[in-house]
Amino acid sequence: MFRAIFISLLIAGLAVSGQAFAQSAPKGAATLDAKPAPKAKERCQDGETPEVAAYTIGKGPNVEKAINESLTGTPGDPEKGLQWMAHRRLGNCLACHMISAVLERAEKTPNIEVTNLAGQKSSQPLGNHGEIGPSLDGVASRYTEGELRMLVVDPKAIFPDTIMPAFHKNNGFTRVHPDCQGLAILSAQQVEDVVAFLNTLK
Amino acid sequence: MDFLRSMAIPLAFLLTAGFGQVSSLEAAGADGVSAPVQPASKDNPLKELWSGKRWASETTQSMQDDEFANPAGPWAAIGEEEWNKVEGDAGKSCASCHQDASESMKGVGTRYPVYFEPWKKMMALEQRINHCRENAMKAKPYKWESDQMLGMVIHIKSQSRGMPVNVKVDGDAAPFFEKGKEFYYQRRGQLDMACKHCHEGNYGQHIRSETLSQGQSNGFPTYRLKWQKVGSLHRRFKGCNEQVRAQAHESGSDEYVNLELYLAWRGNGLPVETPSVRR
Repeated sequence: MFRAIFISLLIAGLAVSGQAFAQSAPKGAATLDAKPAPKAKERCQDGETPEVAAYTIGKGPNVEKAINESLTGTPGDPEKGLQWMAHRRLGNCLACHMISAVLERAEKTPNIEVTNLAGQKSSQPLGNHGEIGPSLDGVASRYTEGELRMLVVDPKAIFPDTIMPAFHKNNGFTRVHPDCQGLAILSAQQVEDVVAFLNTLK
Repeated sequence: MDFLRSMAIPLAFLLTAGFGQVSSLEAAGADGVSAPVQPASKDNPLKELWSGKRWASETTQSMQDDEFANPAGPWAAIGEEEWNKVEGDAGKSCASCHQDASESMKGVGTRYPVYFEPWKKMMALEQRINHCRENAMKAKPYKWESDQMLGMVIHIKSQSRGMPVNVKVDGDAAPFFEKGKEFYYQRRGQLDMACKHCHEGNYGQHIRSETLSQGQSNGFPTYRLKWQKVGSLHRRFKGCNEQVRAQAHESGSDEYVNLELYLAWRGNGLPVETPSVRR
């Protein structure tokens, strides 16, 4: 609440002696939030990729669908996976999902440095998790790797009404923004990286 | 007789106190901020109505409530000035026909969009204003997002401040209501989300540090701190659409006017707050 006030006032450029507000604002986060929203023309230029890997949908033991084979054949890098998950314009998983291990890490290092596929470096917050989706604590105990891959690639294959975007899909949408047409949010290898990170959450 | 007289005062006191209590409860329950408003229609998928104000910070709320601190004040002043300004070949102002807005426009802001027979479709308040300007005043229409238009809409809608939103969606409006509803539930954009995903199922929840609201329209035009100015409801629609990486529609498009109708119906019963202040 106080942080919200702080940022609002910051953005509005109103003079405020916001000692109390400033103290309750997490380090680093306020300055990131206060950046102007990206222009529409840059909406999908953070490494969104036109290629979508072919995959076979198989069965999983916990949910009816799974992608049991790697999309690339190259093992995923969990540390990179976290980078894509934290990046506000890529996975942005933390916007909706809470992960205790990541929150703990955020207490020591609030931000993670990310270089996107377009080569742009940015610092992304590890804290401030949302609560729209379920907590990902122990997610690898609830789903197999193949099920996790399916859930990242196209979660609607399992949960048709979910709010969660498909991260490796580039068609079949309605009125996609011109900057994003034909693009998937994550590349096949980025999906593998994210799945590798999720698989550490036993 | 004496007995009756002696009872009269405590009785009167009790009755007054009783009424006082009822009316204060009603007042507390009627704003969608301290307590929810019950939806007017049982078909409303929302079982309780909350103004976006509920999730605004205390500072933002009090900024809205204080007439002198409300940053939309300059736009309200523009609107009042425009109301009385003679423009166009007919040599008229709004006041020439509608006199004192505080009387003639009372309640108008609760009803729009309305079905407009000559167009055979819905008409938003902005369109009503420009229709008057072009036809009655023979003046140039305002641009949708101009200070004059925003000011005029604020001037008109604020005459209904505190009155419950009450759009009509039956009769001629029915097919347009259905179109608005269809829009609301249509997934769109690369993120493939519909309005309902955030504003029906998840209001009150955090997405990062933002709190999702019910997406109610009762405070528009609103002063948004992020914009550092007043903006229209259709501007907000565009922002929402682009946030899910969808191609926005034009302000004043049939799509947005129909959505505005459907959205207003979802908030039928909430008090008009124009001009509201939001993050």
